[in-house]
Amino acid sequence: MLELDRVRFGWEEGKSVIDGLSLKIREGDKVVILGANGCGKSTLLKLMNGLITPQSGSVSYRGAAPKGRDFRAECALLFQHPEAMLFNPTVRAEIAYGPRQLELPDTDARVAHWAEALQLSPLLDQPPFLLSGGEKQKVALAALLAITPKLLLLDEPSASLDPATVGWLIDTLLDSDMTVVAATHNLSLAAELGSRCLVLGSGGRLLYDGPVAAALGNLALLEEAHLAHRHKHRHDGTLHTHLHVHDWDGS
Amino acid sequence: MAGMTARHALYLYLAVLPAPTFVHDPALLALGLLVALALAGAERWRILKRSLLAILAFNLSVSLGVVLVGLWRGHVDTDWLLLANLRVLLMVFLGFWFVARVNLLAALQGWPTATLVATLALGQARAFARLIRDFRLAFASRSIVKPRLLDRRRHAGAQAVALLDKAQVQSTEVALAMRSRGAFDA
Repeated sequence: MLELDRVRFGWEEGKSVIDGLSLKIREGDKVVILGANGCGKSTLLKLMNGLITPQSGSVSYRGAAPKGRDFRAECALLFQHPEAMLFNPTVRAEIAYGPRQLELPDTDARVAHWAEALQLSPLLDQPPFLLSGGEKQKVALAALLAITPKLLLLDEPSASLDPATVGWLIDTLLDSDMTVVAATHNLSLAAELGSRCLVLGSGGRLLYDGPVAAALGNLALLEEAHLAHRHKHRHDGTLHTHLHVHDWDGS
Repeated sequence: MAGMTARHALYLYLAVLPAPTFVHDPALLALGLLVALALAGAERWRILKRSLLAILAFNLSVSLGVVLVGLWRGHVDTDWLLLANLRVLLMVFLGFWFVARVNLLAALQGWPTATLVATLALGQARAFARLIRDFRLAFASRSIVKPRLLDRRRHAGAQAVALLDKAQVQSTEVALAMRSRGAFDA
Protein backbone atom coordinates (compact mmCIF):
# COMPACT_ATOMS: atom_id res chain seq x y z
CA MET A 1 0.00 0.00 0.00
CA LEU A 2 2.69 2.47 1.06
CA GLU A 3 6.35 2.04 0.29
CA LEU A 4 9.42 4.00 1.34
CA ASP A 5 12.60 3.26 -0.55
CA ARG A 6 15.93 4.47 0.85
CA VAL A 7 14.37 7.71 2.04
CA ARG A 8 16.59 10.47 3.37
CA PHE A 9 15.26 13.72 4.78
CA GLY A 10 16.49 16.53 7.02
CA TRP A 11 14.84 19.79 8.02
CA GLU A 12 18.21 21.55 8.06
CA GLU A 13 21.01 21.26 5.57
CA GLY A 14 23.51 18.57 6.50
CA LYS A 15 21.35 17.14 9.33
CA SER A 16 19.38 14.05 8.34
CA VAL A 17 16.39 13.18 10.51
CA ILE A 18 15.62 10.11 8.42
CA ASP A 19 18.57 8.43 6.73
CA GLY A 20 18.19 5.68 4.15
CA LEU A 21 14.92 4.26 5.51
CA SER A 22 13.11 1.55 3.53
CA LEU A 23 9.86 -0.09 4.55
CA LYS A 24 6.50 -1.28 3.27
CA ILE A 25 3.09 -0.83 4.88
CA ARG A 26 0.61 -3.46 3.78
CA GLU A 27 -3.17 -3.05 3.52
CA GLY A 28 -4.81 -3.59 6.90
CA ASP A 29 -1.55 -3.34 8.87
CA LYS A 30 -1.74 -1.87 12.35
CA VAL A 31 1.75 -0.48 12.77
CA VAL A 32 3.24 1.39 15.69
CA ILE A 33 6.38 3.44 15.30
CA LEU A 34 8.32 3.52 18.54
CA GLY A 35 11.17 5.84 19.25
CA ALA A 36 12.44 8.43 21.67
CA ASN A 37 11.88 12.18 21.30
CA GLY A 38 13.50 13.64 18.22
CA CYS A 39 14.17 10.31 16.48
CA GLY A 40 12.12 11.31 13.43
CA LYS A 41 8.69 9.74 14.10
CA SER A 42 6.72 12.89 13.18
CA THR A 43 8.93 13.54 10.16
CA LEU A 44 8.36 9.98 8.97
CA LEU A 45 4.58 10.41 9.20
CA LYS A 46 4.79 13.68 7.24
CA LEU A 47 6.80 11.87 4.56
CA MET A 48 4.17 9.11 4.45
CA ASN A 49 1.45 11.75 4.11
CA GLY A 50 3.26 13.33 1.15
CA LEU A 51 3.60 16.66 2.94
CA ILE A 52 7.36 16.76 2.59
CA THR A 53 9.50 15.34 -0.18
CA PRO A 54 12.51 13.13 0.52
CA GLN A 55 15.88 14.62 -0.39
CA SER A 56 16.73 11.24 -1.82
CA GLY A 57 14.84 7.97 -2.20
CA SER A 58 11.11 7.78 -2.80
CA VAL A 59 7.71 7.41 -1.15
CA SER A 60 4.89 5.80 -3.09
CA TYR A 61 1.25 5.04 -2.30
CA ARG A 62 -0.30 2.26 -4.38
CA GLY A 63 2.59 2.66 -6.80
CA ALA A 64 2.15 6.40 -7.36
CA ALA A 65 3.45 9.58 -5.74
CA PRO A 66 1.54 10.45 -2.52
CA LYS A 67 -0.39 13.47 -3.78
CA GLY A 68 -3.63 14.50 -5.41
CA ARG A 69 -7.30 14.29 -4.54
CA ASP A 70 -7.55 10.49 -4.37
CA PHE A 71 -4.54 10.23 -2.06
CA ARG A 72 -5.78 13.00 0.26
CA ALA A 73 -9.21 11.35 0.43
CA GLU A 74 -7.62 8.05 1.47
CA CYS A 75 -4.72 9.08 3.69
CA ALA A 76 -5.24 11.27 6.77
CA LEU A 77 -2.72 12.45 9.34
CA LEU A 78 -3.44 13.40 12.95
CA PHE A 79 -0.79 15.96 13.90
CA GLN A 80 0.96 15.85 17.24
CA HIS A 81 -0.30 19.37 18.00
CA PRO A 82 -3.92 19.29 16.77
CA GLU A 83 -4.45 23.07 16.99
CA ALA A 84 -2.52 23.30 13.72
CA MET A 85 -5.32 21.31 12.07
CA LEU A 86 -8.28 23.35 13.28
CA PHE A 87 -9.39 26.50 11.48
CA ASN A 88 -13.15 26.31 11.05
CA PRO A 89 -15.52 28.51 13.07
CA THR A 90 -17.28 25.64 14.86
CA VAL A 91 -16.59 22.05 15.81
CA ARG A 92 -19.46 21.05 13.50
CA ALA A 93 -17.85 22.83 10.51
CA GLU A 94 -14.49 21.35 11.44
CA ILE A 95 -15.75 17.75 11.34
CA ALA A 96 -17.78 18.46 8.19
CA TYR A 97 -14.81 20.01 6.36
CA GLY A 98 -13.49 16.76 4.83
CA PRO A 99 -16.86 15.19 3.92
CA ARG A 100 -17.97 18.52 2.42
CA GLN A 101 -14.88 18.61 0.18
CA LEU A 102 -15.71 15.09 -0.96
CA GLU A 103 -19.33 16.17 -1.48
CA LEU A 104 -20.55 13.22 0.56
CA PRO A 105 -24.36 13.17 0.79
CA ASP A 106 -24.36 11.98 4.41
CA THR A 107 -22.10 14.72 5.78
CA ASP A 108 -24.50 15.70 8.59
CA ALA A 109 -24.93 12.07 9.67
CA ARG A 110 -21.15 11.60 9.72
CA VAL A 111 -20.70 14.72 11.85
CA ALA A 112 -23.36 13.53 14.30
CA HIS A 113 -21.90 10.01 14.44
CA TRP A 114 -18.29 10.99 15.16
CA ALA A 115 -19.28 13.81 17.50
CA GLU A 116 -21.35 11.33 19.48
CA ALA A 117 -18.60 8.70 19.45
CA LEU A 118 -16.00 11.16 20.73
CA GLN A 119 -18.39 12.88 23.17
CA LEU A 120 -18.22 16.14 21.26
CA SER A 121 -21.97 16.59 20.71
CA PRO A 122 -22.37 19.33 23.37
CA LEU A 123 -19.47 21.23 21.78
CA LEU A 124 -20.65 21.16 18.16
CA ASP A 125 -21.40 24.89 17.99
CA GLN A 126 -18.30 26.00 19.89
CA PRO A 127 -15.25 27.46 18.16
CA PRO A 128 -12.43 24.86 18.26
CA PHE A 129 -9.81 27.36 19.46
CA LEU A 130 -11.66 27.75 22.78
CA LEU A 131 -11.44 24.05 23.60
CA SER A 132 -8.95 22.29 25.85
CA GLY A 133 -5.98 20.41 24.37
CA GLY A 134 -7.69 17.03 24.75
CA GLU A 135 -10.93 18.30 23.20
CA LYS A 136 -9.00 19.76 20.27
CA GLN A 137 -7.37 16.40 19.71
CA LYS A 138 -10.78 14.72 19.73
CA VAL A 139 -12.12 17.25 17.20
CA ALA A 140 -9.11 16.71 14.93
CA LEU A 141 -9.56 12.96 15.21
CA ALA A 142 -13.31 13.17 14.47
CA ALA A 143 -12.55 15.38 11.45
CA LEU A 144 -10.21 12.73 10.06
CA LEU A 145 -12.43 9.73 10.85
CA ALA A 146 -15.38 11.50 9.18
CA ILE A 147 -13.79 10.98 5.75
CA THR A 148 -13.29 7.24 6.49
CA PRO A 149 -9.65 7.18 5.42
CA LYS A 150 -8.09 3.94 4.22
CA LEU A 151 -4.74 4.86 5.76
CA LEU A 152 -4.75 6.70 9.07
CA LEU A 153 -1.50 8.15 10.34
CA LEU A 154 -1.47 9.13 14.03
CA ASP A 155 1.22 11.21 15.67
CA GLU A 156 1.28 10.62 19.43
CA PRO A 157 -2.48 9.96 19.54
CA SER A 158 -2.54 9.36 23.29
CA ALA A 159 -0.66 12.56 24.16
CA SER A 160 -3.65 14.66 25.32
CA LEU A 161 -6.46 12.13 25.39
CA ASP A 162 -7.94 10.80 28.61
CA PRO A 163 -7.52 7.04 29.21
CA ALA A 164 -11.16 6.27 28.33
CA THR A 165 -10.83 7.97 24.94
CA VAL A 166 -7.51 6.22 24.27
CA GLY A 167 -9.24 2.91 25.02
CA TRP A 168 -12.13 3.82 22.71
CA LEU A 169 -9.68 4.82 19.97
CA ILE A 170 -7.79 1.52 20.23
CA ASP A 171 -11.03 -0.49 20.06
CA THR A 172 -12.32 1.57 17.12
CA LEU A 173 -9.10 1.20 15.15
CA LEU A 174 -8.78 -2.52 15.88
CA ASP A 175 -12.40 -3.10 14.82
CA SER A 176 -11.94 -1.21 11.55
CA ASP A 177 -10.28 -2.41 8.38
CA MET A 178 -8.31 0.84 8.18
CA THR A 179 -4.56 0.63 7.81
CA VAL A 180 -3.12 2.45 10.80
CA VAL A 181 0.35 3.79 11.45
CA ALA A 182 0.73 5.35 14.90
CA ALA A 183 3.86 7.01 16.20
CA THR A 184 4.27 6.95 19.94
CA HIS A 185 6.69 6.46 22.79
CA ASN A 186 3.88 5.02 24.88
CA LEU A 187 4.68 1.32 25.14
CA SER A 188 1.27 0.39 26.58
CA LEU A 189 -0.47 1.92 23.57
CA ALA A 190 1.93 0.08 21.26
CA ALA A 191 1.17 -3.22 22.96
CA GLU A 192 -2.57 -2.80 22.51
CA LEU A 193 -2.78 -1.12 19.13
CA GLY A 194 -0.11 -2.60 16.96
CA SER A 195 0.45 -5.97 15.40
CA ARG A 196 3.67 -4.75 13.85
CA CYS A 197 6.25 -2.45 15.31
CA LEU A 198 8.95 -0.27 13.81
CA VAL A 199 11.55 0.93 16.28
CA LEU A 200 13.50 4.00 15.25
CA GLY A 201 16.87 4.87 16.70
CA SER A 202 18.71 8.17 16.54
CA GLY A 203 19.01 9.62 13.04
CA GLY A 204 15.86 7.84 11.94
CA ARG A 205 17.62 4.47 11.65
CA LEU A 206 15.28 1.49 11.61
CA LEU A 207 16.38 -0.68 14.53
CA TYR A 208 13.57 -3.21 14.35
CA ASP A 209 10.63 -4.20 12.16
CA GLY A 210 8.54 -7.07 13.46
CA PRO A 211 5.88 -8.16 15.95
CA VAL A 212 5.15 -5.72 18.78
CA ALA A 213 5.35 -8.35 21.51
CA ALA A 214 8.88 -9.37 20.52
CA ALA A 215 10.02 -5.73 20.47
CA LEU A 216 8.56 -5.02 23.89
CA GLY A 217 10.24 -8.12 25.28
CA ASN A 218 13.62 -7.05 23.95
CA LEU A 219 14.96 -4.72 26.63
CA ALA A 220 18.31 -4.28 24.88
CA LEU A 221 16.48 -3.00 21.79
CA LEU A 222 14.34 -0.68 23.92
CA GLU A 223 17.45 0.61 25.65
CA GLU A 224 19.14 1.31 22.31
CA ALA A 225 16.03 3.22 21.22
CA HIS A 226 16.03 5.16 24.52
CA LEU A 227 12.69 3.61 25.52
CA ALA A 228 14.12 1.81 28.54
CA HIS A 229 16.63 2.94 31.10
CA ARG A 230 18.94 1.44 33.65
CA HIS A 231 17.78 1.62 37.23
CA LYS A 232 20.29 1.52 40.02
CA HIS A 233 19.17 -0.71 42.89
CA ARG A 234 20.64 -1.80 46.16
CA HIS A 235 19.61 -5.28 47.25
CA ASP A 236 21.09 -6.72 50.44
CA GLY A 237 23.77 -4.08 50.40
CA THR A 238 24.81 -4.83 46.83
CA LEU A 239 24.40 -2.12 44.21
CA HIS A 240 23.37 -3.37 40.81
CA THR A 241 21.61 -2.02 37.74
CA HIS A 242 18.90 -3.45 35.59
CA LEU A 243 16.91 -2.33 32.57
CA HIS A 244 13.49 -0.96 33.22
CA VAL A 245 10.56 0.47 31.25
CA HIS A 246 8.00 2.78 32.80
CA ASP A 247 4.65 2.64 31.04
CA TRP A 248 4.58 -1.05 30.19
CA ASP A 249 4.00 -3.80 32.72
CA GLY A 250 4.50 -6.67 30.29
CA SER A 251 0.97 -7.95 30.70
CA MET B 1 33.39 35.43 6.16
CA ALA B 2 35.55 32.32 5.79
CA GLY B 3 38.40 32.13 8.30
CA MET B 4 36.86 34.83 10.46
CA THR B 5 35.82 34.23 14.07
CA ALA B 6 32.15 34.62 14.93
CA ARG B 7 32.94 37.71 17.04
CA HIS B 8 34.84 39.37 14.18
CA ALA B 9 31.97 38.58 11.82
CA LEU B 10 29.60 40.26 14.28
CA TYR B 11 31.80 43.39 14.42
CA LEU B 12 31.96 43.46 10.62
CA TYR B 13 28.18 43.04 10.35
CA LEU B 14 27.54 45.85 12.86
CA ALA B 15 29.97 48.09 10.99
CA VAL B 16 28.52 47.41 7.54
CA LEU B 17 24.82 47.40 8.51
CA PRO B 18 24.36 51.20 8.80
CA ALA B 19 26.23 51.88 5.53
CA PRO B 20 23.14 51.66 3.27
CA THR B 21 21.47 54.44 5.31
CA PHE B 22 24.24 56.84 4.21
CA VAL B 23 23.87 55.98 0.52
CA HIS B 24 21.26 58.03 -1.33
CA ASP B 25 21.85 56.84 -4.87
CA PRO B 26 19.71 53.84 -5.91
CA ALA B 27 22.38 52.75 -8.40
CA LEU B 28 24.99 52.50 -5.62
CA LEU B 29 22.58 50.56 -3.41
CA ALA B 30 21.86 48.19 -6.30
CA LEU B 31 25.61 47.77 -6.76
CA GLY B 32 25.95 47.06 -3.02
CA LEU B 33 23.24 44.41 -3.28
CA LEU B 34 24.99 42.83 -6.26
CA VAL B 35 28.29 42.72 -4.35
CA ALA B 36 26.57 41.14 -1.34
CA LEU B 37 24.90 38.59 -3.64
CA ALA B 38 28.22 37.77 -5.27
CA LEU B 39 29.93 37.28 -1.90
CA ALA B 40 27.08 35.27 -0.33
CA GLY B 41 28.06 32.12 -2.21
CA ALA B 42 25.81 29.19 -2.99
CA GLU B 43 23.13 30.27 -0.52
CA ARG B 44 22.61 33.67 -2.17
CA TRP B 45 19.25 32.92 -3.85
CA ARG B 46 17.79 31.28 -0.75
CA ILE B 47 18.82 34.27 1.36
CA LEU B 48 17.47 36.70 -1.26
CA LYS B 49 14.15 34.82 -1.35
CA ARG B 50 13.89 34.91 2.46
CA SER B 51 14.72 38.62 2.48
CA LEU B 52 12.11 39.41 -0.18
CA LEU B 53 9.45 37.40 1.65
CA ALA B 54 10.33 39.05 4.97
CA ILE B 55 9.90 42.59 3.65
CA LEU B 56 7.10 41.91 1.20
CA ALA B 57 4.07 42.86 3.31
CA PHE B 58 5.61 45.93 4.97
CA ASN B 59 7.36 47.34 1.92
CA LEU B 60 4.39 46.70 -0.33
CA SER B 61 2.02 48.60 1.98
CA VAL B 62 4.45 51.49 2.46
CA SER B 63 5.16 51.68 -1.28
CA LEU B 64 1.48 51.57 -2.15
CA GLY B 65 0.83 54.33 0.38
CA VAL B 66 3.58 56.46 -1.17
CA VAL B 67 2.21 55.83 -4.67
CA LEU B 68 -1.34 56.76 -3.59
CA VAL B 69 -0.19 59.96 -1.87
CA GLY B 70 1.99 60.73 -4.93
CA LEU B 71 -0.96 60.24 -7.28
CA TRP B 72 -3.08 62.50 -5.10
CA ARG B 73 -0.38 65.18 -5.20
CA GLY B 74 0.23 64.67 -8.92
CA HIS B 75 3.79 63.32 -8.67
CA VAL B 76 5.03 59.87 -7.70
CA ASP B 77 8.64 59.91 -6.50
CA THR B 78 9.86 56.69 -8.13
CA ASP B 79 13.50 57.43 -7.22
CA TRP B 80 12.60 57.52 -3.51
CA LEU B 81 10.55 54.34 -3.84
CA LEU B 82 13.44 52.53 -5.47
CA LEU B 83 15.92 53.92 -2.93
CA ALA B 84 13.83 52.95 0.11
CA ASN B 85 13.03 49.45 -1.15
CA LEU B 86 16.63 48.71 -2.17
CA ARG B 87 17.92 50.02 1.15
CA VAL B 88 15.58 47.84 3.21
CA LEU B 89 16.24 44.82 1.00
CA LEU B 90 20.01 45.23 1.30
CA MET B 91 19.90 45.62 5.09
CA VAL B 92 17.60 42.62 5.54
CA PHE B 93 19.76 40.58 3.15
CA LEU B 94 22.84 41.43 5.25
CA GLY B 95 20.98 40.29 8.38
CA PHE B 96 19.88 36.95 6.92
CA TRP B 97 23.34 36.42 5.41
CA PHE B 98 24.92 37.02 8.79
CA VAL B 99 22.66 34.59 10.69
CA ALA B 100 23.01 31.98 7.92
CA ARG B 101 26.80 32.01 8.17
CA VAL B 102 27.60 32.91 11.76
CA ASN B 103 26.71 31.18 15.02
CA LEU B 104 25.16 34.12 16.85
CA LEU B 105 25.57 32.54 20.28
CA ALA B 106 29.27 31.99 19.62
CA ALA B 107 29.56 35.62 18.50
CA LEU B 108 27.98 36.82 21.74
CA GLN B 109 30.01 34.55 24.01
CA GLY B 110 31.23 36.47 27.07
CA TRP B 111 28.29 38.90 27.03
CA PRO B 112 25.80 37.21 29.38
CA THR B 113 22.84 39.56 28.90
CA ALA B 114 23.16 39.60 25.11
CA THR B 115 23.54 35.82 25.09
CA LEU B 116 20.42 35.44 27.26
CA VAL B 117 18.36 37.72 25.01
CA ALA B 118 19.65 36.00 21.84
CA THR B 119 18.94 32.55 23.27
CA LEU B 120 15.38 33.55 24.15
CA ALA B 121 14.84 35.14 20.74
CA LEU B 122 16.27 32.17 18.84
CA GLY B 123 14.22 29.71 20.90
CA GLN B 124 11.03 31.67 20.28
CA ALA B 125 11.81 32.06 16.57
CA ARG B 126 12.31 28.32 16.23
CA ALA B 127 9.08 27.53 18.11
CA PHE B 128 7.09 29.93 15.93
CA ALA B 129 8.70 28.65 12.73
CA ARG B 130 7.69 25.11 13.70
CA LEU B 131 4.12 26.19 14.51
CA ILE B 132 3.76 28.00 11.17
CA ARG B 133 5.18 24.98 9.34
CA ASP B 134 2.73 22.66 11.13
CA PHE B 135 -0.21 24.93 10.24
CA ARG B 136 0.85 24.95 6.58
CA LEU B 137 1.36 21.18 6.42
CA ALA B 138 -1.86 20.41 8.32
CA PHE B 139 -3.85 22.59 5.93
CA ALA B 140 -2.24 20.83 2.96
CA SER B 141 -2.97 17.46 4.57
CA ARG B 142 -6.66 18.26 5.13
CA SER B 143 -7.20 19.87 1.72
CA ILE B 144 -8.56 17.03 -0.35
CA VAL B 145 -9.50 19.46 -3.11
CA LYS B 146 -8.20 22.96 -3.76
CA PRO B 147 -9.35 25.02 -0.74
CA ARG B 148 -11.89 27.79 -1.27
CA LEU B 149 -10.91 31.39 -0.60
CA LEU B 150 -13.16 31.30 2.49
CA ASP B 151 -11.26 28.29 3.86
CA ARG B 152 -7.92 29.97 3.17
CA ARG B 153 -9.12 33.08 5.03
CA ARG B 154 -10.32 31.00 7.96
CA HIS B 155 -7.03 29.12 8.05
CA ALA B 156 -5.01 32.37 8.00
CA GLY B 157 -7.20 33.72 10.81
CA ALA B 158 -6.83 30.58 12.92
CA GLN B 159 -3.07 30.67 12.39
CA ALA B 160 -2.89 34.34 13.43
CA VAL B 161 -4.93 33.63 16.58
CA ALA B 162 -2.72 30.64 17.46
CA LEU B 163 0.45 32.68 16.95
CA LEU B 164 -0.81 35.57 19.06
CA ASP B 165 -2.00 33.16 21.74
CA LYS B 166 1.32 31.34 21.76
CA ALA B 167 3.24 34.64 21.87
CA GLN B 168 1.21 35.79 24.86
CA VAL B 169 1.45 32.46 26.72
CA GLN B 170 5.13 32.01 25.90
CA SER B 171 6.09 35.50 27.01
CA THR B 172 4.29 35.02 30.33
CA GLU B 173 5.78 31.55 30.83
CA VAL B 174 9.29 32.62 29.87
CA ALA B 175 9.14 35.65 32.19
CA LEU B 176 7.90 33.48 35.09
CA ALA B 177 10.53 30.81 34.41
CA MET B 178 13.27 33.45 34.28
CA ARG B 179 12.02 34.99 37.52
CA SER B 180 11.88 31.53 39.09
CA ARG B 181 15.48 30.89 38.08
CA GLY B 182 16.64 34.21 39.48
CA ALA B 183 17.26 36.01 36.19
CA PHE B 184 15.76 39.27 37.51
CA ASP B 185 17.43 39.16 40.91
CA ALA B 186 19.97 41.83 41.58
